Amino acid sequence: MSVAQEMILMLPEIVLVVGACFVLLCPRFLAWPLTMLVLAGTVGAIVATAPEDPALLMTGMFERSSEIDFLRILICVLTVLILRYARGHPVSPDRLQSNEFYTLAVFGCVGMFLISGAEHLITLYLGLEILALSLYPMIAMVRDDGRAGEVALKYFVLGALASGFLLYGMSLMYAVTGTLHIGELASQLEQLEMNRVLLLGMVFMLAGLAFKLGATPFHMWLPDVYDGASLPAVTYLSAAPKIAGLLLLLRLFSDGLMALAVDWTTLMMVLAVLSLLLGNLVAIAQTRIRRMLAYSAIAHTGFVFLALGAGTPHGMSSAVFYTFVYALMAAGSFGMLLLLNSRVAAEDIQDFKGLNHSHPWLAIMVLILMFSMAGVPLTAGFYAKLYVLQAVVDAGLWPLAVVAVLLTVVGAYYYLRIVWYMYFEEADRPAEPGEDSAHVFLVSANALVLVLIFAVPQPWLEMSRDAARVFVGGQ
Amino acid sequence: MLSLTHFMLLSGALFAIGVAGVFVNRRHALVLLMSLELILLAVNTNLIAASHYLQDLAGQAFALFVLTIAAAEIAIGLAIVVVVFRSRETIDAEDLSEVRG
Repeated sequence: MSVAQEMILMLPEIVLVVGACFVLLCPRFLAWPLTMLVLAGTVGAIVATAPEDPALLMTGMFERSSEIDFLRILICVLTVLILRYARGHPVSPDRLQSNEFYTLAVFGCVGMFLISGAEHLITLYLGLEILALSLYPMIAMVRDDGRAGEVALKYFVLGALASGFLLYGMSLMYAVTGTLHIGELASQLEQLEMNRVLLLGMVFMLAGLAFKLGATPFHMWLPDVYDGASLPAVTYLSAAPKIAGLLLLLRLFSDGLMALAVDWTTLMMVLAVLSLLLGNLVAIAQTRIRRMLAYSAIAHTGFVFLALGAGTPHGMSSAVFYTFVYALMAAGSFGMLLLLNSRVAAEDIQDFKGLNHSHPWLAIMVLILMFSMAGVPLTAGFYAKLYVLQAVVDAGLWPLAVVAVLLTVVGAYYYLRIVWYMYFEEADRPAEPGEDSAHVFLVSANALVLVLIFAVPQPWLEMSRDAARVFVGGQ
Repeated sequence: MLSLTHFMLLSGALFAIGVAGVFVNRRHALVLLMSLELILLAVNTNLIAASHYLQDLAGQAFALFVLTIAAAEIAIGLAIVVVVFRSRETIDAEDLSEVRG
C-alpha cells in the first residue's frame, strides 16, 4: 500500500491530532466551537474513509477495519455529549471550559483510537498511555480543590503501577516469543509449550488491565476518584475510556493470547465474580450518588469480565454490546447529575426525593437510566445483561450465571431506591436543576436511545457481532 | 557467561523492589515516583536483554518508547505533587486521606 493510501486510512487519527494542537493554541472563545468541529470532522473522516476489507497500516502496527468504526464513532459522540454536559458546570469554569480541558479530551480520543486499531504491543501501549496521561491532568486541573489533587495523585500512582504491570507482562511475553506483533504473538503461542514465564506474563498483563478497568480486587482507586474529582472529569472518565478498556482486553486476550484461553478465562471469571459481589453489595451502603455510581461501575466491569471469561465468540460480542450500552448509560447518568448540580450541589441520594413533583420529565429520564442500569425490561440494559448471561450459559458455566443473576437482583435495590425517592417521598428541599434546554434535550435523547435500543436491538447486536469478529484468533 | 535468565532475574528483582516501594512506602510522594520509575527500568532491562539474546531490534525500540513515556509520566506526576503541595502544604502520603474508599 502506498504512503498516500495509508495516510487516507489514518485520516481520523490525523484529524484528531492536528485538531487537538489547534484547540490548544486557538483563542479561548474559539476553543469550544473548534473542539466540536474537530470531533465532527473525525466522525466524517471515519465514515468517508471506511475500507471494505481490514487494512494493515504502518508496516503492520495499526489495523483499520470498518467493523469497529461504530465504537470509534461512539467514542467521538460520547466526548461531544460529555463536553456539552460539562458546559454548564459552575465549579471552576475558567479551568473546566478552557482550551486545556478540551485539548486533553481530544488527546484522550487519540489514545482511544490508537488502542482501537493497535496490532502491535508498542501501538497498544502508546495508545493506553496517551489516554492515561490525558486523564491524570484532567482530574488535577481544579487546582484550588484539595480533594481533586489528592485523588489525582492516587489515580496517577495506581495508574502508573498498572501500566508497569502491563508492560512487565509484555516484556516477559516478548522474551519468550520474540515478537511484539499481536498477530505473530498469537501464532507463536500456538506452537509453544506452556511454561511458567508465559503464565506469569499473562497474569501480569491481566492484573494491569484489571487495575485500569477497576475490577475487584484492583478497584480501590475507583470510588475515591469518582468521589473526589470534578464532575466533568468524572463524566469523561466514566464513559468513553470504558470502551477503550474493552478494546484493550479484546485485542490482548481474545486476539493475542487466545492460545492461553484456558488460563485467562478462569482468572477473568474470578475477577468477574469478585467485582459483582463487591460492587453490588457495597453500593447499597452508599449515601453519595457518585460513590454509588462508582461501585455500580465496578459491578458493570464485572459483567464485562463475565462475558469475556466465557471465552467464546458469543461472549465477546455480548461484551461489546454490554460496554456499548454501559457507556451510554454512564454518560447519561453523569449528564443528568451535572444537570441537577448546575445551580446547587445535589450529590446525595436524598436529593432525588420528590423530583417527580417538581420536574416530572427529568424524573422519567432518571427512571429510564436507573432501570437500564439495573437491567429492567423495556431498557437496553436488560438486553445487555441477557446476552451476557446467555453467552455464559452457552459456555456451560451456568452456576456463574446464577450467581450473576442473584447479585444483579441485589444490585437492583440501590437503583430502584432512587426511583422510590423520586416518586414516593417528599422533598426535603426543592430541586433546582439547570434550565439549559440543550442540555435537557441531550440528556433526554441519551436516555431515550436506551429505550430505542430495547425496541430495535437487532442492528446494534449485529454491529457488536461484527466488531467482535475482528478480534477472533489473530486474523 | 551471562544468560538471558540472569538478566531476567535482575529485572525481576528490580520490579519487586519497585512494587514493594509503592506498597510499603507510606511516607513520601517522591519516593512513590521513584518506585514507579524503578518498575519501568525493570521493564526496560527485560526488553533490552531479550532483544540482545533474540537478535531482534523491536525490543530496543520498545525500550526507547518506554523511556519517553516514563519521562512524560513523571513530569505529570511531579506536577500533580506540586498541585497537592500547594493546597495541602504536605506531600506525606499518610496525611492525604480526606477521600476514603
